[in-house]
Amino acid sequence: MHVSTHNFGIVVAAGIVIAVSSVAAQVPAKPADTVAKTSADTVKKAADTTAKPTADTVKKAADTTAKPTADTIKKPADTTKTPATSAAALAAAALAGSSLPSLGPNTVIFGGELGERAFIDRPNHLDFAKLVEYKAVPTGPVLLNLLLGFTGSDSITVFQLSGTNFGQRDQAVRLRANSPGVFDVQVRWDRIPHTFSTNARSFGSQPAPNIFVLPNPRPDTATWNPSAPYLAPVRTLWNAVKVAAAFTPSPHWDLRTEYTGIEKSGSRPMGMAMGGPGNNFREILEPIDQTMQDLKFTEGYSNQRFQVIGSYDYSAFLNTFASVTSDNPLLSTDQATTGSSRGRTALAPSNQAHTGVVTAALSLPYRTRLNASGSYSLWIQNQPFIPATINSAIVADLSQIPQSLGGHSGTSSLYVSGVSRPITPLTLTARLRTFSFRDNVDVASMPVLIINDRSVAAAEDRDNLPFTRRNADAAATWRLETAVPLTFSAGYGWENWKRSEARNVADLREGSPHFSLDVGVFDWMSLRSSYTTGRRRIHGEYIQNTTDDQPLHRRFDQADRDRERTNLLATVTPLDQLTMSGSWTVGHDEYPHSAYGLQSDRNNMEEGDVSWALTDRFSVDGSLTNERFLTRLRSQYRATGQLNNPTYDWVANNHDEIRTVSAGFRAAFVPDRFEAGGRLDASRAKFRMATFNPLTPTGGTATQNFNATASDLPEVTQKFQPMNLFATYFVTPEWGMTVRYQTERWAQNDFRTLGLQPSTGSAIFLGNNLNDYNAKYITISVSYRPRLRRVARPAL
Amino acid sequence: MRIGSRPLFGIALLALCASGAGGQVTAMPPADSLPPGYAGSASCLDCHAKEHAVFAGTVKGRLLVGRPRDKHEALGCESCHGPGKAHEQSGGEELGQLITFSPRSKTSVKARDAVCLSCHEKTARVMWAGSVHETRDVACTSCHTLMHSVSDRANLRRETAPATCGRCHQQRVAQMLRASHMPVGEGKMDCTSCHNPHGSPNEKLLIASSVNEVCFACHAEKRGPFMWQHPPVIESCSNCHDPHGTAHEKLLKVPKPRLCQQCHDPTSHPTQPRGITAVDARFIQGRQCVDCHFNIHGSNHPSGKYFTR
Repeated sequence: MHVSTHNFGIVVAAGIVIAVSSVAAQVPAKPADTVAKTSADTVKKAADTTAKPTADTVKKAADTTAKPTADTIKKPADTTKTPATSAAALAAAALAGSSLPSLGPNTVIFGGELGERAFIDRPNHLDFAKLVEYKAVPTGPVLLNLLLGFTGSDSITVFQLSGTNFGQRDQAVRLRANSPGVFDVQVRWDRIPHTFSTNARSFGSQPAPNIFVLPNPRPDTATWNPSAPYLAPVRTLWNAVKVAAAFTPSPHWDLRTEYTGIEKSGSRPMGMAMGGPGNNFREILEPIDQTMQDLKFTEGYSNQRFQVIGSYDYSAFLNTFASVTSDNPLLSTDQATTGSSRGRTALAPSNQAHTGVVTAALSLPYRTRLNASGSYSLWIQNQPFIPATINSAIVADLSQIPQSLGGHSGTSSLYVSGVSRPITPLTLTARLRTFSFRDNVDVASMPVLIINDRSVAAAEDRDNLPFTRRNADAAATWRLETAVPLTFSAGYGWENWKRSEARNVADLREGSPHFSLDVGVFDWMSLRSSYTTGRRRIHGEYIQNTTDDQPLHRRFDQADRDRERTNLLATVTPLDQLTMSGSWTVGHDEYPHSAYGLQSDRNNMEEGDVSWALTDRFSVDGSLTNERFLTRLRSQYRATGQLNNPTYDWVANNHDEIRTVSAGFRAAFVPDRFEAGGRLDASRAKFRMATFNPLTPTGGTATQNFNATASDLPEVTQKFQPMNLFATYFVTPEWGMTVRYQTERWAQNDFRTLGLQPSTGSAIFLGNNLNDYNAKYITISVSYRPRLRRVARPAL
Repeated sequence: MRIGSRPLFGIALLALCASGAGGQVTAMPPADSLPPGYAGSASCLDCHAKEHAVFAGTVKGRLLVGRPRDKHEALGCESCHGPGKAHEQSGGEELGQLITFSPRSKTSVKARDAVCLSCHEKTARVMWAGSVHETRDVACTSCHTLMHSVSDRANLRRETAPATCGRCHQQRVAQMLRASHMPVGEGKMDCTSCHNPHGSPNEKLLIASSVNEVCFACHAEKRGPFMWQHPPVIESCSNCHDPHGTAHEKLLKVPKPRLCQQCHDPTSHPTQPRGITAVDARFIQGRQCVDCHFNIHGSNHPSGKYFTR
């Protein structure tokens, strides 16, 4: 165990320098966690009160208020000159008379937390991948968070710069200017890492990010496995910037402009099928250098009866790399039929999209409201095709291959809904929605295909796959304001898919009755329940796309299906400070007419949680969730000459069991002097792919019979357990010292990657695995918090 | 790093807006000109000074207490809680016509929500009426609180959106703690990155007209259109992925190769059950089916029909 503290003194000094240069808040207030609540007695007495005002009466009352005079909006001189006005005094000044209070002078708020992090138990660098999947855990000095705010004198406009994890791979910075009801401008810059591996191995060189070269002669298995060098961590990094500016020039108009730019860089694992010799493949790294730009304008108009919003969104995706090329690990010269010395795979093409949406709502008599929305989106992709093959030995006429796709696909949708309350206890709702995907491209077929840069195939048509999905739903809700308030809802949903003939089913329909019952057993206890059942049926035929498809197989997204969903949620609030809830969910999909394919999909979930603020100073929460998933698949091994051998049937039962525990506490042992908190999350999962043959495979060749023989795949287990504890001692109400102790445990036993060697002969992997670790690290920090608000701390 | 100019653009926007800051303010009406039934907020302080002091420090509080923009806001406490004269005159013994918002309030959810919607039924809340949350009697104050600041934004009842939504959608919270998850716990996104809890014309309260279009907001490389398309990908990412978190890599609902074998039934390798043998290595180990079929979301290679190119 080793704790590095060599920089801590520097850190403290730096913190003090920053603090000295800051100006503290001028308006002290109670801490944010001092919860304001109406007394329980007061609430109880409300039960006796039958007359209740509506929002309209409140509004109307406001309209009768006497118009203010010039005197009433004149600021009293005494309050503007007061350097430090308490919030209570401010409020009293506001409410006692008819004049506006001073909101104080120019105010600068500063807060920050600077510290030093060190590992107590540091995982091996090859085992780091999961720990830093979406975050960074640097050691040494760390600027955990920073807040700088400014409010002008007598202004409610707030300017704020805040951020977390400055300088780290996962830093977040936000700049905000907000004047409630007038404008809100936010700039957010997030860096989002995604680490895939820290123990990938591979031979060769990379003269360009998208070219992977192997030496000649090619390394064999005996060389790959012991000698392939480790690569640098395989990860991507997103730099995401979002600028949003909202402006409300009048209470009726809202204007909003949003710009989002995401730059993605780095690499991630990808496979490249070489095809030959021996259907070999090699795992390499996909180079990531992509940019997304999105600009959206939204304009809204609203009055008391009518609201309308229109928006236009332009989105562009640019990929620097159109393809990636890799040497074939088993072949160093191009050959016409055996295979190519190199493979070349297309990467995601650059594309653009234009999207327009109009949404409107209208309030009508009888508490009726109509909503409507329509959208249209055009997706354009016309990036030049890369050559059909990289194999120089291929003999084929490639001159007729089109230059690019000329894609101009997209979606459109139309939605109409209405809700009406003709009498007080009754609510009627109806919805109708249609959504269409247009698959429009200029290229109807490809005259020749070179499969895996090896084999020449005849012309292939491109399947156009447009579809339309229509939904309708009508429901009635009856609310009984009895001693035990009941709300019962019953409705019927209907859905229809129209697909192209390139799919299996052209017309699929589903009817779904649904019910819900909400019961307010007591004013401190409620039950919410819902039940949905659905029957989806094919109208017309199930068409097999190719002659070698199993005729009785049904794809789950187009098969007949019987569905049931049941949800139950109980919430108990015996005290305003104590909430307990439990929920139970059962989902069950059966595919009654699928002799082969997915047979059933079941899931069960039970959950319980409690949240208790014992006092203003101490709160605890905890939850436990159990989930089980079971999918049952029936398939049939289909080999040459054995296309429908019933003994080649096999069944796979996929079981997932996941248990999640979460617990946390927060305590102010000595308010504004000593506080502590912590959280433990633990997710444990195991899944099995149990597989068996109902009958012993016979009838084919020995090899075919062997291939048809099913066996269980090994169980996979996972444990993911982050924990975070902190204790803060406030030297003054503003200055604090915090010690954070964090651990993260990861353990996985996955036969698919554990112990995977880079080479198995015809398959060349990166050989990476998310190795186990039990990381423990500690962060000691100095913080300064303004009195008006707490500085945001990293989520516990 | 080509991103440097964008924050500057934001700063310029900030300055632009700051120059236009301000707006009309309306003073608190004198006590003798209050509408019938109203006591004036000053009387609230007699008993609720502590709550008011905290509220006055919030953004909303500074607006209502310090700079009301119209006569309605100038009513202060009573602009939301309604006329309080009866409550005041009973010495707090009776609520009278007051509207209360606590979790155990006797005020009906509709009456409570009507107060909020009288100002906020626009922009993202246009489709609140008839939405699943509205029809199930979820109150505005089930998720939001104004009297004190808990969250960094949106006046949420809990510190973050997932914690707020998780009060009812507990399974989603548990999913986000699974090994395969999106960076929600890391604070890089939250429920509202994909959903509009206030109502939406789209399924599952999504913010775009289909699941795919929500995903394309960050994963535009999957948008295409491609020369060779994988039908279930076009129809919904959720055919294979559960974005809330799973125990399988890449948020897959079912582990490969079984995920793919649910649909792929022609002759040859897809229908073989596969075991732990060297021959099956490239089908079972590493990234399984995607070891070879890398472009499974669609390929723009002229020869990419099988998504291997």
